[in-house]
Amino acid sequence: MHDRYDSVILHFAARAFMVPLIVVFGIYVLLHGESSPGGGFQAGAIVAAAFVLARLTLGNRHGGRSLPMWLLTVLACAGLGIYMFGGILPLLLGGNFLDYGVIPVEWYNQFAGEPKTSRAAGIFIIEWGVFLGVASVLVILYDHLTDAESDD
Amino acid sequence: MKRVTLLFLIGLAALLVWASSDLPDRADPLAPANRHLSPELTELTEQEVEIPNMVSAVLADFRGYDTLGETFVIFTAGLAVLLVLQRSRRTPDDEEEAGDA
Amino acid sequence: MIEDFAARFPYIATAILLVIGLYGMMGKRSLVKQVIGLTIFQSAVILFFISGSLLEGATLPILHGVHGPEHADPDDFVNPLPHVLMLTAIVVGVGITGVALSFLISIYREFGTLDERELLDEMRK
Repeated sequence: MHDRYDSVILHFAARAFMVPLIVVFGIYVLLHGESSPGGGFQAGAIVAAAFVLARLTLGNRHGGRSLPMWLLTVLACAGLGIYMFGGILPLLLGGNFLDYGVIPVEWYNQFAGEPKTSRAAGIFIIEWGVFLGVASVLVILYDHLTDAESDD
Repeated sequence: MKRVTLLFLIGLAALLVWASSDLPDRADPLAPANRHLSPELTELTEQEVEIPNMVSAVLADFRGYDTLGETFVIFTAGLAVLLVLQRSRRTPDDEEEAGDA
Repeated sequence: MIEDFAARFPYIATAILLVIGLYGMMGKRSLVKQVIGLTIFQSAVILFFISGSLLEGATLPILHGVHGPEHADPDDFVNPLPHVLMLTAIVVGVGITGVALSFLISIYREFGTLDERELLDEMRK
């Protein structure tokens, strides 16, 4: 589980095809969370699955090089921070905590093809926070549970 | 002991199936769950939040505090695993492994 | 008879899954199997909530044409609230499983076994 699995086909399929495709699909699910089935939790699970796949095929050492533990911890904290930012931003603009109705979106709608309402903008911020938190925590769980095994 | 457990569990299953006869049928339009909250959520999503995905609207807007709590739970779970496994790794016989955690 | 079963089968499946999960937690001695039982128990709860959100002739809770003239009919959409609750419950369940497994690893390092009775004997010493 922690060693490199020696198979050219598996390596090629995972590294060149599956992992990038799954990450792109996860980001797609995240960005379309407001208009189609999707959202932060689902996108986080999908992207975490991509990184777990990289670790499964390439081994924890090699597969984990792109996303080391310190970066994962920082990302998990950043996810929570973005969520809290999405909650406190309306507070600073004169609304209630997590009440997105007061977020200004006129500057964005000037050069956007599709106009966005302030509530959609608030939900978008929240989804990014949830996405970062869920994805990084799932990879942290996998890394620690499998690394711990290899010591014995 | 094992037989007692099995008997208890079979009795529990029978009790659950019997008690479910009071619940509404599957996909019943007149069930209380479909009569009371669902129409209000549809209406509020359409008029106040104005995004198509009702699940996202309920998740991030109506129940924003709840989702904040869930994010804290997930974060705490990750933190707990990190701390529990790093602490139990620092036993004397594998001291040298503790460095590259 | 068959209509009766069709209207009830989510409850029957929930009861069976609940009992299987409880058997895993009560009847098995290995702590790993108890965690697996916990996961099965949890999926029974998820199935129960999701089956409660169903509605005859309804579709996904995705509105179409929010800014359009036509008004959305609530009878066309399944109840979104159970979906939201279970969405978070699934992810929290992964967190619970992760913490439980990390405790098991820590227990195994301390005592060298995951058998319930051997652990109790070990702790009484």
